Amino acid sequence: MNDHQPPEQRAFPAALLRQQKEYLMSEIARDGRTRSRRSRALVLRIGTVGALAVIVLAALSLSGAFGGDSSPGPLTIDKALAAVTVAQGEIVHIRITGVDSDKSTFVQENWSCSDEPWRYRGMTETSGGGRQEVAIAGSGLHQVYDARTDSILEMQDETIAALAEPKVPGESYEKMIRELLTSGLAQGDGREQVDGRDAVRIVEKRPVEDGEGSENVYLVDADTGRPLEWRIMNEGENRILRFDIYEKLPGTPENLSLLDLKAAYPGATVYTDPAAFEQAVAKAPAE
Amino acid sequence: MNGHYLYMSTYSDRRLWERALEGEAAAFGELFERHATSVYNYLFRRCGNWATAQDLTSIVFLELWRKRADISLERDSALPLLLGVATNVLRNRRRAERRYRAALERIPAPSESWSPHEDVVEKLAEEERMKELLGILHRLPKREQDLIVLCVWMELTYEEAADALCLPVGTVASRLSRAKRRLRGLLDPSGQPAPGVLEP
Repeated sequence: MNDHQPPEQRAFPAALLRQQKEYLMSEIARDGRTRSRRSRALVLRIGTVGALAVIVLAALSLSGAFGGDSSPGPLTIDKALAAVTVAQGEIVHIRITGVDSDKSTFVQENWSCSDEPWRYRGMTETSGGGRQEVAIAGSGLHQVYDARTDSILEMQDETIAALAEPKVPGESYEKMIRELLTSGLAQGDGREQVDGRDAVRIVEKRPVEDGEGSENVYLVDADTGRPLEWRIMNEGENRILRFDIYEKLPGTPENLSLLDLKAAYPGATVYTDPAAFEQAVAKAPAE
Repeated sequence: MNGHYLYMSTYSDRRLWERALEGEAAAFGELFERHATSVYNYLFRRCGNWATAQDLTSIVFLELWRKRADISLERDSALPLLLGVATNVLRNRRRAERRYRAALERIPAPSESWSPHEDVVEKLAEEERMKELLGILHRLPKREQDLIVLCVWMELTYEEAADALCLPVGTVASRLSRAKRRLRGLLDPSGQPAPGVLEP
């Protein structure tokens, strides 16, 4: 056998995709009809209140209540987009605090550099006590940090080396911001204060159907266009993301060391044997 | 409805899953559309038959729905979870096929012209090749096979594979490293890494 690779992936047949999707949807709809009816009534109520709020805000905006830049238009979008566009050699450092409508919170912090070979280090901590920290690189370097035992597993991983860009654990908000700003649906919508800073509101309204809809309010620093806050609101549920840090750092050796877990935790025990790491983690007393 | 789907397409999987749990069928439909191809290919890479993979794809989603009360989607991507469900469906294939036979019979025929015999020659060649590869893979213990397919052929990260199989990340790393070592020996007793199997 000369070729040990599995055949290339095939797309799921398009005609079957549509028909099976509809079938699955009908099964789910049948199953959840009662609950759906209840939540729909709630959604309609929220939708009505939301629509009234939008009308009031629009009226205030037109009357100049926000002052100054009430329709920042394409220039604002361009500025916001430029603020999240990264030049060659730069490292992006982001720290986000997120709050969901159920009051659960999470903190996501990451450093990334897209120069070849790309490098990424990311940490996610949830209010439930979960914590995950990894560093990966296009060179195939894969590090996992265990905070309980202050230990690092370091491996060469050909699966990671084969990726064209980092596969980020969790959501890539940077990517989502760029999608929002280039969707053609985002537009400037006045100003407000965020933590004492003058912020420009960029609003993306998604198509509305039967009173349902969503609104993304992305707030950027009025001077620099850098992200400050993102309110993702969907039919009564929401997620608020606060950009505690959004900075671009020059790719100096010192800054590049931020992408390495061994440099971040110099006192940590480093394992190269996954089995030994596994054993050490398993032995650690539960918190 | 198109506007609604466009709007759904901006949701993360986790949010779609939450919406589906509240009975919003379109959210589940979006999850299916998003991941059907990956699930289909994963199934093919495990069973070596495109037609079986196609039938089992819907079963994986139906099984995901059936087990919804026990499932909590911690990640923003549902793919590791779906591939975990697919692994179990394959393991208990007969039972799953029996359970969903009636449900699958209710699926209407495709509305537009579509032939199951499309690309039949290429598919047969691919099945032949896959059968050969699986012949080697099946010489590994089952739990190591899972990791080779998930991490090497489907390119899941260790963390995602750990989620899919409900294992600690360290276990995934050590088990995979053992599996790769064993597989190298099977492919080339001289110890030279054979190209392909161990690279995505």
